[in-house]
Amino acid sequence: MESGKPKNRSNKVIVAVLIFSTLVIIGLAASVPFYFETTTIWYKTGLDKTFLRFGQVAGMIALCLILLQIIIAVRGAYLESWCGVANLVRLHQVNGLLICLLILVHALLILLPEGLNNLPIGRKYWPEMVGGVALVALLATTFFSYFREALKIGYQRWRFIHRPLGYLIALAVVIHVLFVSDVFASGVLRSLLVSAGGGVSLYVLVVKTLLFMKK
Amino acid sequence: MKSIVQIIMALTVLLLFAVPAQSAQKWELDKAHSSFYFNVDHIFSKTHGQFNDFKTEISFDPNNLGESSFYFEIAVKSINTNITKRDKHLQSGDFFDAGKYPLMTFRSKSITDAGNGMYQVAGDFTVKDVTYDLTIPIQLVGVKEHPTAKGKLVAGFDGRVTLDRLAYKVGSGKFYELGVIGKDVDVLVSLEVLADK
Ligand code: HEM
Repeated sequence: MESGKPKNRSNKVIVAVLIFSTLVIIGLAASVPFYFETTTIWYKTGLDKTFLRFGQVAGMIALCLILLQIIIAVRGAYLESWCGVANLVRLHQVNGLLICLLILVHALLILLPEGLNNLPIGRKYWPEMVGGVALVALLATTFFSYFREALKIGYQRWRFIHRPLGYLIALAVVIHVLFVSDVFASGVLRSLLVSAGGGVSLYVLVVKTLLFMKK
Repeated sequence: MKSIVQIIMALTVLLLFAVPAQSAQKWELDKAHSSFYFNVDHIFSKTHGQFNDFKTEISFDPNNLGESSFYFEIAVKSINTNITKRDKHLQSGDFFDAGKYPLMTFRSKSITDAGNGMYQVAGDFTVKDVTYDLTIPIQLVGVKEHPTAKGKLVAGFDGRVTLDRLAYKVGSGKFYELGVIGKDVDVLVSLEVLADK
């Protein structure tokens, strides 16, 4: 296992490029609610409109960070050598907290304009409910990860649940976005998200296969 | 004097034991074939919707309108316009505020025969906890033996009324002023009701 900081100068350049590209992707994603307005935005005015828009921005950033979180968690030999395992683990932990914060902001800002006594509960609101399940699972998994030792949960036991739950949450979030938002219902955004989801899945598959072959 | 007392006593006994006036036929809702539909202007087109969850209490006899009555209770949350986001918006404070005011009701107070199977049903319409007078013209479409359910009678009612949603505070008027959503809502109450023969 390699650890610590990136070793040489070329690694630093690669890391800088990776960080820059990630920030550009996040920036582009955050601008989606301004360039691709949902019909819900059309029918909101004043503060409600601002809440909804920034709720969507928070959701878009969270979506990117969740997909990134999978890549950071799976790592792979190249990523490990470029960034160092310790840095990736630290990033995974901080990113997890950031995602929790963002999805709480997302849920709150999106639900506020329709009223907190008017929650989207019921079969016809299943895409929102998938988001709700992802939110609860995310908060729970983050909580148990941070307080694992204090709660005296064994590492293997925790990992046994944490790993599949991580993938399921990412899958749930992608499904949530594909079916909840009308701008993702068809067209370029849908294709991009399906490709991103497919790309991350492929990355996981390649890294796991290589790891398996190495063993 | 004795005979006057006897007459008064006889009348009292008669009143006490008098058969209560014949009440009007009670009709059970056939929910699968009934609905509360509406349509409202949206810029150039009409948006259609309906409420999926409602209850009715109907007693109706065209020969006994005094004892006849209509009661409708509509769960606002069941609004359905085929687009879930729009339904949520209609349930929000911008329109029905369904979390705070979950029900709309109509209870008739009097029914008058307007001829040709039409009845003027006047009553109390309660929306967002405020009660208004409302008269719904309801047509008795027909009464007959149910073609498939043995031993049952089926009756049909169609009520059509246009409601100014802003008069009932369903919306502040901002979407109307923007020229997006009309204020007049055409309502069709289409009911099939059943009774034992
Ligand atoms: C794991 C957590 C979640 C993530 C990552 C997430 C992400 C997103 C994203 C990216 C969008 C699309 C934004 C856009 O159209 O620009 C979205 C839309 C939406 N989300 Fe979430 N979401 C999550 C949880 C939730 C929860 C818990 C709810 C609450 C029920 C919720 C309700 C919604 C709604 C209603 C929309 C549609 C907004 C609109 O079109 O106006 N989401 N979400």
